[in-house]
Order: sequence, then structure tokens, then C-alpha cells
Amino acid sequence: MASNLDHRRKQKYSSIGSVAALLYIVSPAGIFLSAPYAESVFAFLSFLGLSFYIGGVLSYDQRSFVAAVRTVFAGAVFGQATVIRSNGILAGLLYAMDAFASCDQFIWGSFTVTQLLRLASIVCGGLLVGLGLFAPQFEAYIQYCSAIPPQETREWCRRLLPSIFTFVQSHYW
Amino acid sequence: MVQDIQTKLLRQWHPLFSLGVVFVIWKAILLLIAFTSPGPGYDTSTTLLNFSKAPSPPAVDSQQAPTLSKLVRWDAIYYTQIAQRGHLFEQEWAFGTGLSKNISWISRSEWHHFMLDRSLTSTSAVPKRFFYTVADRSYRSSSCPCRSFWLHDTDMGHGIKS
Repeated sequence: MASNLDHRRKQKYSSIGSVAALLYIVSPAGIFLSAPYAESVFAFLSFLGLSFYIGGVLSYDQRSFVAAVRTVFAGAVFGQATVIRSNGILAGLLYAMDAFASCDQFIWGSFTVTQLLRLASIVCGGLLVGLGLFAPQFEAYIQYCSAIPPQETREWCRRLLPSIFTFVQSHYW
Repeated sequence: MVQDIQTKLLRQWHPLFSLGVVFVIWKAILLLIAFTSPGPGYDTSTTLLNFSKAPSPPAVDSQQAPTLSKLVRWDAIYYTQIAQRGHLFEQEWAFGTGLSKNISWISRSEWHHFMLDRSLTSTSAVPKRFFYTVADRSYRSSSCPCRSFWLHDTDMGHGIKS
């Protein structure tokens, strides 16, 4: 499945997509991609999100509304991937870079509606990706830190950015 | 003949079909290695997994489905346990919530009950029993002190607050 989507990302007669998909099939992760691990589901959703995102980039010139919908939908898919495995937040880098470029072009270049629509879709998609990282940690915060007197809570509750991910990774692993 | 297949793989067949063929062959090799490896494995934690807390129907545990349970090792144990009872310990929050929630949701759905009923009466039940082996979520025991909100358990609210 991942290989199919990986190939869809690239142009039809280029061999880079086929080679990339082939390398992913025989990846060193091996059996972990067939066991109940998050890696395979995460990879599938990442590839799916990337194919929508690239569809959005490619169709921006002709059909800007469809491109905006694709970009936002890709953000939702990336957000779901981030809920499954928090590495997915790196897909937010795409949105961050694109947001800077689009903002730059909007302010100094054309003040058109399509440009504004593109910027809005990028920001929305990026926020959806960030939500995938933020929502599970918010859920953990509610479970561990709320409605409890401050001196009895866990030590990470009192930090400026109470993130359970960073605490658990450093404390237990 | 190998040369012939190789030529077809690279030149004649549609790339997606070639990738599909390579995928099937590679996965078959890996799963063959995994399923034919002897003994309980290097990580023997799978033998500790016990899904038999269900009142009904009879649950499957690692002794009854040893082949598929060979895939449940290392982190997969965490994921299946979390799907079964939600996040109980703090270190489990290092694992993303999405996969275990989806496993739990699919297993609680009517589709799963339908498949499970059919699997208990049919003879070729291996693919359907996989869902049941991975996490016995539909029939939670009432002694589970789960605090995860998304399980919608009647035991919600126990734990730190009480």
C-alpha cells in the first residue's frame, strides 16, 4: 500500500518513485512493518498526506480551490499520522516553509484572492498537523494534572510547557 | 527463466504490478522466517499476555494462537495492552494514542462482532481471529481500574482522583 502511494507521488515515467518504493518495501524495518506497530500505519498515512499535498501544489495554478482543499485535507491526514506516531510533526515543516514563502509572496507580490486562499489553506493544514501533536498531550495533561492539588501532581505538570512526551522519553527511556 | 522474469519485472509490467510482486515475495520471506522460528522467542513477554479475563466468549491467548502471537513482541505488546485497557502506566504515553484507539474502536464495532460470530462457527477462522488475538477489548473485565476517558468505561473516574 505504501509502495503504491509512493509511486503515485512521482511523475509517471520517472524511475525515482519506483526505486524509492522498492527501497521502502525491502526496508530494514522488515517484520516490524507486519506486526502491530505504529510504523506501517504511520508510513501509509504520511505517504497519503504527501500525495494529497503534492496534488495541491501541482493544481494550484489552474484550480486554486481544489488545491486549497487538498492542502487542508493533507494536513488532516498528517495530523492523524502524528496522533499515531509523534514523528509526524516533521511534516509540519513542509507547511511552515510553505507558509513563509506564501506569506512573502502575498505581502511583496500579488495581493490576489488565490494567494490569500493558498496562505489560509497552508495555515489551516499546519494547524491540523500541530493538533495531532497537541491533542494526545492535552488528554494526558487532563488525566494527570487537572483537579489535583499542585503539590501532589507529577513533576512535569508544573513545567512551563507540560509535555508528557518529553518527560516520559527522558525519564523512562 | 529468472532472466526472463527479471526483464518482465523491470521493463514490461506496469510499475505498480512489479512493486506488488516484490512486496508479496518479500513479505512472504519475512513472515516465513518469523513463523518458523522455534521457541518462545528472544522476548518472552508474549507468553505473559493473558487475554482470558473475558466472561464470554472464550478468549484466545498466546498459547492458543502461537503463530500470530509471534508477531506480538517488544513494542507490539505495549500497543495491544493499551488497546485492551487504555493507558494505565505513565510510560505508555510515549506510544502514540492513535493506533491503539483504532484497534480498540474496530474491535468494539458491530462489524467486528459480526465477524467474530461468524468466525466461531466457521472452520477457516484464522484471518478473523487475528483481530481477536491482538486485543481482547470488547469484553473488559469490571475489575479493570482504567482511567482512560475514551474507553467510556463505567469504571471511569478511578485512579488518582479517588
